[in-house]
Amino acid sequence: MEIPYTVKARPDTGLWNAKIGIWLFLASEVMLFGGLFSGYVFLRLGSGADPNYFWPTGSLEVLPGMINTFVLIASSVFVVVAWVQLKLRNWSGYTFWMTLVVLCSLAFMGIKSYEYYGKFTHYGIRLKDNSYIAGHHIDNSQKMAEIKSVDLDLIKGNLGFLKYVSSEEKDNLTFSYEVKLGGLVPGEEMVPSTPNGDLNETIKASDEVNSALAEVNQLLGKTGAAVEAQSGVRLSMGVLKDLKKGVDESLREVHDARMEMNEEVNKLIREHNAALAAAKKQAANARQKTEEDQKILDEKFVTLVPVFSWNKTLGLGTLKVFADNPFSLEVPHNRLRNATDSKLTFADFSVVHGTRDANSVYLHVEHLDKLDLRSVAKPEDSAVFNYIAEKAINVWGEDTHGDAGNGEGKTEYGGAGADDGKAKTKTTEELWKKFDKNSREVTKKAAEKGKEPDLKKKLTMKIYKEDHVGASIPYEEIKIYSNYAPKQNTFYAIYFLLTGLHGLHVVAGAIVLTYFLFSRRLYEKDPEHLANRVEVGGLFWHFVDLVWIFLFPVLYLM
Amino acid sequence: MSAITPDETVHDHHDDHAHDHHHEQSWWRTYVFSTDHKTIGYQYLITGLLFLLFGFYLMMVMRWSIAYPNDVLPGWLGIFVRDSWLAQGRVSGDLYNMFGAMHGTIMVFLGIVPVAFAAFGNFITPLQIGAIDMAFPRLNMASYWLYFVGGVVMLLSFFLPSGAAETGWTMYSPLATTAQMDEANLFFTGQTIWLLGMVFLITSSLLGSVNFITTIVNLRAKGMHWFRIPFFTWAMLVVSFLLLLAFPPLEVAALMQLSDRIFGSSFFIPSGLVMNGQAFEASGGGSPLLYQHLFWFLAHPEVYVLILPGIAIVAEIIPANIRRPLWGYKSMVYAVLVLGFLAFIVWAHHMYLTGMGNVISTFFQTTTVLISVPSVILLTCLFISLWGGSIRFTVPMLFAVAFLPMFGFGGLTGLPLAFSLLDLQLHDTYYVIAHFHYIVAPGTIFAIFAGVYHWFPKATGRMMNNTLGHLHFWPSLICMNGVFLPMFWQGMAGFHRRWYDGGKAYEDTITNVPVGEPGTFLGGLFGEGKIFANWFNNGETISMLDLNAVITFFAYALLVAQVPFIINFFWSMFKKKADAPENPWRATTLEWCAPNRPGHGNFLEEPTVYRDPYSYSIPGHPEDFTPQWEKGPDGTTGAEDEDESAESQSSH
Repeated sequence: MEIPYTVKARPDTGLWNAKIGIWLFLASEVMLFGGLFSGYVFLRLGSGADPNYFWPTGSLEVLPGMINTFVLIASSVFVVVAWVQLKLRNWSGYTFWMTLVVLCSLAFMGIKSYEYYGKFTHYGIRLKDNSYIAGHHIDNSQKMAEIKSVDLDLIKGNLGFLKYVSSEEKDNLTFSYEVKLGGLVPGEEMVPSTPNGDLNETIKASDEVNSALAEVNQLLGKTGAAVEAQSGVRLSMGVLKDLKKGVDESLREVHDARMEMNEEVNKLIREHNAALAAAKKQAANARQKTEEDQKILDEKFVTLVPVFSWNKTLGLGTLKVFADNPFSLEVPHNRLRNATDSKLTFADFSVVHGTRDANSVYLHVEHLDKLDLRSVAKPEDSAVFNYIAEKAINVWGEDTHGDAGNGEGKTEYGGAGADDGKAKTKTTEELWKKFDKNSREVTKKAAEKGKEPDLKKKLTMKIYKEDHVGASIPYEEIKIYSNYAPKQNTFYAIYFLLTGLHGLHVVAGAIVLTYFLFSRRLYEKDPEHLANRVEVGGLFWHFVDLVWIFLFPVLYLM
Repeated sequence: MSAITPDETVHDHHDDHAHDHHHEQSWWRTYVFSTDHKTIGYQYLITGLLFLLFGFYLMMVMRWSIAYPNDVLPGWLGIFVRDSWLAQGRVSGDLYNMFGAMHGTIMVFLGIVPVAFAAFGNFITPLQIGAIDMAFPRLNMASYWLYFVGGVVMLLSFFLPSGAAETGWTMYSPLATTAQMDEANLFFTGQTIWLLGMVFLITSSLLGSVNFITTIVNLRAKGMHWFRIPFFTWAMLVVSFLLLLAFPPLEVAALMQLSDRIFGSSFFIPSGLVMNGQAFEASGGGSPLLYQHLFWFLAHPEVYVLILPGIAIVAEIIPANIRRPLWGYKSMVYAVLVLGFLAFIVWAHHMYLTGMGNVISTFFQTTTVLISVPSVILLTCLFISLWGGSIRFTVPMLFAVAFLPMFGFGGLTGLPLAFSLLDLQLHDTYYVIAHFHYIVAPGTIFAIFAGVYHWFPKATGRMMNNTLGHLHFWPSLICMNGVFLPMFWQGMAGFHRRWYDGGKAYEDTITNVPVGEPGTFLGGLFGEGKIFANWFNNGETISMLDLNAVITFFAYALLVAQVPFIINFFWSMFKKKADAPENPWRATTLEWCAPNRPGHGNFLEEPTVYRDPYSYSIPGHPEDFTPQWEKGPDGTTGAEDEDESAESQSSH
């Protein structure tokens, strides 16, 4: 069975199947990138209405982007030449041009990787007063020593903190623990509620309900040791699972007993209510009821309130384990949920108790390269000036230009700390002078024109690496910080989504075209079939090129 | 030139192989990784029906919570429910949200669309246009398996520590972005896995729709001009375009939300978002509205993906059972094309309450009202077709005829929702639920049943049992209406769709009002001592709140009503005697000239088309139907020469 029109075109439509297929696929792709470009427009327009956020126009290096544009355009031409060579049945010519196409795609991806790397090592920091600084080379490690106890979350815990303990310490790391059920289980007295809240009156209606309730309440107080106390335990996921299982089983017994009781009580209440309903109906049918009669009957209805049963997510949550010997760890700040001087909370909700290193209070940036005070209410009072310093706090050692990793972190905090009040260092003073000069210029020019001064325009500044301006900012002052990844702001988010998705298309296209390079067998059997395939692949390649031609001006130039 | 000779009317599978030009394939290639469009159709059907059943189960748990919020979930209902999802043995708000979100997702993306579009489309489209298979058989297989993986991914998300996604099938940001963020591993949360599953499903539908369109454009049999294509295939073409062009923006939305969840970006996070009293840690500057636009740009066309296959199936069954041509075939084709176009420019009517502005609301209100025109043309043509026909009430015809008023109910009750002013009142109430469920449940699902009964003989060589069919149809019809009709009243009384206690919390204020005042029609049914009050409430007046229990009763009964169908389906499939003639309904379209249980390659000989798709009761013709593949005398359209047919096609 042969599907018709795979190679030869159908006479009335003039198309072979794959050609229709690729055009439809490209239509779908247009919608995909159309959606992304619409998203770009939406976000960019939206940022105009947001006083705290300025679209970072012109923040990408144009040259690599432009080279990439030409690389892709060239490859689009080469793919056509390769196709023509196939049509001319010139295999070696075809392989030559097609190899060039694949090389172009590699060049494109290489340049793209270079650009991405630059973004990933560049950090932006927004302070709580909306001051914004950016720079290279940060130290956000959280060093904690003298750790004696850890709170493990038995449901979500995955012992993630162990990864950050140095290997020699990890080898001798043992813990002790003790589990008690009582107190960990939420218990609640069970009471049936009634419409009018008069409990005694209602419960009197059914002594059985009453006695069942008493039994349940007795059960609620039941506790038991789930797992025996142990010490010298090396923590692993297996240990954690066993612990959880032991506790689970023990709790399950209580839970099951309660559920049984639940059913019983509900059944009694249901019977009670049914009897009342029947009585009420009888009264209604006999037309003997007065309003008061009915009211009394109504009040006697018991609403079903089952016993509070054990709930896994609410029940036994955390388990405290104690380190047999105190240990220390070092973890990047952005791997944590929360960090204070005495405890670090990990992503899995484990809490490590110890003493935090004094330098870990700050986020250190070695070289600042950008200062942006446009969103700050009073730029001259920006918190940035309290923390910017020449060579900042030197956690990298004296020689900031050399190898960054060799420092011991001994240098004392050299910046103007909170205790110095508004005192400004030499560097910040110079910076401020520039701002001051700028703003005075703007004011002067505006006065000449008789307009209100627009200071906002002058409130960004580039800082050169040679100035060695760094900063050490306490985490409490920081609203958000990240490298120039999607987290940084919506511009980088859409930049990475657009270029990432485009890059995936380049890779996929390059793989397919490379495959066509090795299709000698098909060429010998049916060269037209291979030419068709290359045509389809080439159409896709043109599309990928076209997307970039839109991407380049939108992201790099506009 | 008929492909049918008297000897060949009853075919068995083994006979077919004699006519095939392919060698025996392994069991895996024949039944699992098959590239045969019919097998893939069956795979879609079975998988989709199982997902429909599972979606139904999720709904049953939700209905329990709505009707009996204070009662412990019974054990038989709670088999798939984890203890930790329950609150004191009862359905918790979180559980209701999770099952609600997954009910919608599963029913729409894993149930209805795969069955109505992919299963029927795959099985029937190539047969109806006289093609030996789809244009890209291997892509077709990939499409099914991507769907399968997407479905499995969705199901597996129930087993994650966080449970499955729980923010409604719409996954609105920032709620969906910020939900389930307290997991150690953000990737393995229900919310994230939902997005991953959607990426699979979107890719699957992309491959499927490319395949459908190419097949319909390029693989039509000789003489199958554009206006000789049966309406079903036309609808498949339009649906394919909808899927092709509408799904990518949802993929964009899914990728953006994925990025927001995993990489902490702010596509949909506005500046200054506060959660639980704390500033949410994100750069901000994003737009929740952007998500809604991207989502509804897919999800509104998706509505037509849900209903058009239903209309299409019904449009095939009705002419075969009224013995006269489909009234207004061409206007139906034009209507469905216009509908397909308009479907792309009505999406924001789901967003009247977002405050996107009066001008935009007015625009979308206008287009939404406009789209009712082609919809009404379709329905009216089908209704008028019935006029003067000699109707055979076969089981598929019963479902098809019931489809018309049910779809009408659903469609017409949508008109008030189109107006932004009325929508303020009705948005997110049970009125909306009733509206779209009328279209999809007694609409599309009835059409699916009709289609199964109608094409079952072609697929298996066996007729389905008539008595069991009736036992399936009548209870289903009653229960469907028992479920969805009361929801209109509840909705107009202000019942919100996300109340997991069904409005019990507002018992003292708004929900405990009688369904109908004494003296009114509804009062006569639901008032004290009246018929429904006696059945459901010990003779007491049924309040809007009490209706919850009534609806739940009908919903559970609806499941029981499906038992005859399941029995019928399997019993008929495995019964020994292949009792179905090749053209049991004496229909005219091409699929009926293929042998029963068509083999690989479908037709014994390549069919040629000579006439319009619905040539019934042509005066002067000995039979009351003239199949498309029959040359013979013809009063309406001239039978063209085979050689010329190709050229004349290009003129269309």
